[in-house]
Amino acid sequence: MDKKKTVLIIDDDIHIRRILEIKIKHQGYNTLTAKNGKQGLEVIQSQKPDAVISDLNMPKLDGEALCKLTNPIKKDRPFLTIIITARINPQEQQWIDEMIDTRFMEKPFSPSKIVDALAEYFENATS
Amino acid sequence: MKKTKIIILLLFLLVMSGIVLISYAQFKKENQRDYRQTKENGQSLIGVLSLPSTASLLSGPSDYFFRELSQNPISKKIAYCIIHDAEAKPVLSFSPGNLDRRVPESVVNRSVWGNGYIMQEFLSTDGVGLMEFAKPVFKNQKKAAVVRLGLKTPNNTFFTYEHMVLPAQIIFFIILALVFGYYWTVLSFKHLKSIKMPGDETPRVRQSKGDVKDIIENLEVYLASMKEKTSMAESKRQKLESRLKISQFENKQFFNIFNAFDFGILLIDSRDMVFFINTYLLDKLGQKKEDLLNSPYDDAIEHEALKSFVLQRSAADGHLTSKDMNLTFEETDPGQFYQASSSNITDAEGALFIRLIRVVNISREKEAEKLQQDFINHIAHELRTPLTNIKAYNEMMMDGEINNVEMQKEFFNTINDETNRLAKLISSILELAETEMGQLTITKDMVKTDWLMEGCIDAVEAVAKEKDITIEKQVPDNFPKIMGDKEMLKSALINILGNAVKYSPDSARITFAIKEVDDMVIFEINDTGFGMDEKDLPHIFEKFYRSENDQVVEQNGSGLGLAITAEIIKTHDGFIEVQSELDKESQFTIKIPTGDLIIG
Repeated sequence: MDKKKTVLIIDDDIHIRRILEIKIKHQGYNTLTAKNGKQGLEVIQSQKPDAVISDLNMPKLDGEALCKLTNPIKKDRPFLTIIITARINPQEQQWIDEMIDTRFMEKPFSPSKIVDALAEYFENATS
Repeated sequence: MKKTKIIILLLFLLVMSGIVLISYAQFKKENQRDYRQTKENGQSLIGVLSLPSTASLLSGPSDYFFRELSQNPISKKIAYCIIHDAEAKPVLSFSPGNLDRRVPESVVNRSVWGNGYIMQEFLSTDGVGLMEFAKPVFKNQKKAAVVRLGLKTPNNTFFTYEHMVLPAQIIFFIILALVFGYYWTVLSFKHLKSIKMPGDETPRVRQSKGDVKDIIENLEVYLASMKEKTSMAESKRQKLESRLKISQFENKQFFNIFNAFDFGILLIDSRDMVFFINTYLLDKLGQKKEDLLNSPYDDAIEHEALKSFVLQRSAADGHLTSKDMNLTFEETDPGQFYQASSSNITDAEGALFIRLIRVVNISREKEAEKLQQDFINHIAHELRTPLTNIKAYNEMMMDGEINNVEMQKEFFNTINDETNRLAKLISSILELAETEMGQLTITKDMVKTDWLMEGCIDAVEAVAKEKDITIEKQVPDNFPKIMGDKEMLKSALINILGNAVKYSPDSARITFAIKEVDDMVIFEINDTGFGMDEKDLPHIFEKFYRSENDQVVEQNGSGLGLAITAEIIKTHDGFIEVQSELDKESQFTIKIPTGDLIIG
């Protein structure tokens, strides 16, 4: 049996953090949470999660800056990043496409879709 | 015309008669001279021949005598020379043509029987004109002989080759002069006749059949017409000159106006040469005017993007689609955005005359566009966050994943809270939109400030009570009144008082003061809450601005409240000021002019 995957949830909205935490835990994954990009970066560096779910619009360090900072790490230690955004525009689509193992999901998202994406990624990563 | 011909004919006859008369007179004069000379020669020769020695010839040798005669200068004129003896018998005779035989008897008799010198003229029997000189030769005072000398009288005829040479020469030269004169005149007038004036209105020289008077009349008409034309041309020239000067002046004025524009103008003529460029665009290009004017644009313009835009527009001639191009001038104006547009100016026939390229600074529009985009993104984000929560929590409940009753209660509360949050957000956005249009729609009434204060406190009282926060009122003896939109003013004050309650710790103290200074009503709201960071202060009235301070982030908020308040105060010609110290206190001061109060 593989070690339980750890998923980091970064969002400044407490309710989103909470619901994602419950949903992901229900799927048998470990969860970590952070209130903003800055905290999230610290957790990524220290806890080395297997997947990150991050809001785009956040105080201190937004989702785009976080992705660009963590992208070099992915070359040695790949992990999935799901960016949650209110509205995708061509510029966002472009930079997201340039990142390694990075997807986006538009609000209002379905928690089931998030866990499906995680499962698919982990399945492909192990096979 | 007939008359002219007759005159010419008479003139010709007169000239010819004159020539004949002159020739005849010349001939007569010559004849007389010959006659006189013949007479003198005859007299002279007869004198010599009648010397006494001649008598000796009658008996001696005579060859010498005849040889002398034949060698005499006038020998050709001598018809005969006969020497008679004393008895009138011819002894010696010299007659080359035997003319002596044709001398009439009477002539001979008169000569031989005369005793002195005799000269007689006569015609020989065959009609030859002769002149006879006769003289007796005396020897020893006795008549010894008679010498008769016959000379041919001059027999010149008028119509001889020699005589005809002179009149023929004169006639030849006259005819030659007439022919040359005629052709010269004809050629001259032919040239004059061939002169044509431009324009339909030109009076043509009347066709002439060579009549000099007609030609002169025509020439006068022509000269008058020429004079008129010259005067018209001069006046036209002056008009054109003045029009040119006006046009040059207008051009200069236009160029001055173009130079005053706060956007770039580039004019390219139909030969792709730079016709004009204004100073604005020159500054942006960083080039000199003299390097560009009257030069092909693709050589002269160094800015590649602008050059390619002109080229594209050139290729798209005739298509009036206005495809604009965004440009930057990084070297001369970094960070600014420009837009180039082009339009074709055509002449009356529709042919391309000038291409006008306009380069406008669109940095503001770009900024406004970005702000608009940011605003939409913010609204989307703010609206979709509570919506996401409602959807996610609801989905989990519906999927039956939440079986714990406490957790179910928590979920229902969250769905309820997020629904309220969404409703409040929508209200705030609508309120902001209304406020921004407020200057057009505001309805001012007399507003009592005590009513405002009570209304605000009522709105926040429940939350304040929950946090055990005290709101202290500081009021004047008489509440002032102001002219304004009471609902808008109340909303503005609630936003500030609400923030004071929201961002203050439990059991904090808030003061709400109203006072009147001069013609201004001043509202002061002080709190001893979390305060604000210095870096946040310049931005707190911007739409959707939220501090990154943890105490602020933890609280739900749209970032629209203070923006709405600022708009309302502005609409009422008022001011809003804020003083704050992080983790200590905040003070908002709102000043609104009382306005012209309607007492009633």
